[in-house]
Amino acid sequence: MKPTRWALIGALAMPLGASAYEMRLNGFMSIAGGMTLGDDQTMVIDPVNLAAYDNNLNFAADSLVALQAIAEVNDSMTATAQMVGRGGEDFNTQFEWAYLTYEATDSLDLKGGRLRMPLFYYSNFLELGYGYQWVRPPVETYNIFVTTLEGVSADYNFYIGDFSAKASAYVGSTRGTDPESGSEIDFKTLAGGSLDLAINNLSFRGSYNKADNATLTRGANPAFDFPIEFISAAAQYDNGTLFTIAEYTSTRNDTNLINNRYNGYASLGYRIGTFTPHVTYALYQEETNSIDPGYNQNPREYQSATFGLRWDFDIAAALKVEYTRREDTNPDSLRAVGDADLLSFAIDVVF
Amino acid sequence: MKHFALRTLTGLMLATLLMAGTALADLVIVVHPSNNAVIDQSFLKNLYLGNTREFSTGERAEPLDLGAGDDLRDTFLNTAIDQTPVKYRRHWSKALFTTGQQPPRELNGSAAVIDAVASNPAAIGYADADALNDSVKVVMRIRL
Repeated sequence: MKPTRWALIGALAMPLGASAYEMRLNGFMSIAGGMTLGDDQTMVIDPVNLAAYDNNLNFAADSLVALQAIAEVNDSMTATAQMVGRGGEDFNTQFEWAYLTYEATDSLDLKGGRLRMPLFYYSNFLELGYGYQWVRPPVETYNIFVTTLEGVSADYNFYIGDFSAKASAYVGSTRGTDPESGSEIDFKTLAGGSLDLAINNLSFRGSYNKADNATLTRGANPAFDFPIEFISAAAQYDNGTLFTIAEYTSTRNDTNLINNRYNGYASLGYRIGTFTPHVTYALYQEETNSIDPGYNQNPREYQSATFGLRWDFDIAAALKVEYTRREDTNPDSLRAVGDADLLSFAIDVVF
Repeated sequence: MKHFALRTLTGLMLATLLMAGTALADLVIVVHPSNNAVIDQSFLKNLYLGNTREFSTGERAEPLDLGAGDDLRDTFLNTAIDQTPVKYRRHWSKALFTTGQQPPRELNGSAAVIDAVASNPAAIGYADADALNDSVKVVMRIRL
């Protein structure tokens, strides 16, 4: 399998580099648990593996451990590998990243290997709980079932007046299984770009990603190709005490078998010493692509509010507790996800 | 005559300040003697936060740090690059796991920093002025 081969290349490159140069090993861990408050309530929190909480206390769904190794191959080349084992997947370890970075100039990095798909604001640290206020980024938005790709990318850092900017572009391929429908989707060629802008306490991010010919295979049905397009936009303000972030995403498929999605969230937090209370509103919306009303995919719609508290009890560790209330506003009971109340907590450490 | 007196007085005051400074052990930013790059506070900040990897001369820069909990390190972070140790740690944890960027290498004590800088033209570090010798070049002095 292609992904495994790439991961191996990354892994093999490292011990070689380590013999001549320094190798650095770091990691992070989240020990998390939670449960819904109603008998018949379930909440899926991991779109890749479909890990979910129900009315029984569960310590696996959000728990994970990650190890990252970075080795200098030479003065301008490094090999990076990140292995993540998720509780929702029995801690089976997977290479989330395995790539070589070539520092072409002070401001240009070229990467090749298994890379994180740069779809979202938090894409680069999806698993790094220590990096954000929540137990997990809002699932109403962070619900794309592929998160990595095999390919190449270029990151260019520059300035536009007082704005510091980073432009990235990538091309690669990936595949995944839509956990909901069981459809296998093969993104043979996927390309995209993102732009990050920052000035003082404000930062902005936008991304555009497109696969002209994704191949969908569902069960024994004949495979077919369709184009898919993903757009995201995010804005963040953080003055060190007060911070707020909003992100909006749109996923459009030109096939009447899959609904388009328009998702987003807005979050506000305030740091008081080592405590950070925060509140988030998130929205999941679908739009049917079907031209035939008899073949309606019954678009889903639900929203959630989350109230949480993060406590940084150590320089490298945080404890989080949060309550999420989800309301399903979908009139079609067959496609409804239902209302749910979720209590969850996490201890996130970096080492 | 008046000017001479003034100058003498200023000179004396400066000397006193310098001596007082030395007694309190200044923090010095040091580079290899062959390094002619322009080094100012905004460069230090960009370098220690990973925004740049090169000196003004275009040569590669390797910043050196002291270990967590070192008093001199806290002073350096606070005064030279405007970061609390917690903020600095958070910045690098995030950078390390998001972009794979590596934080400055940590050494154990000022003497080790001086030695490392003396033997590496790309290195830049900070040290207690008491540990100074002429194997390195001082490019900035922070009075404590």
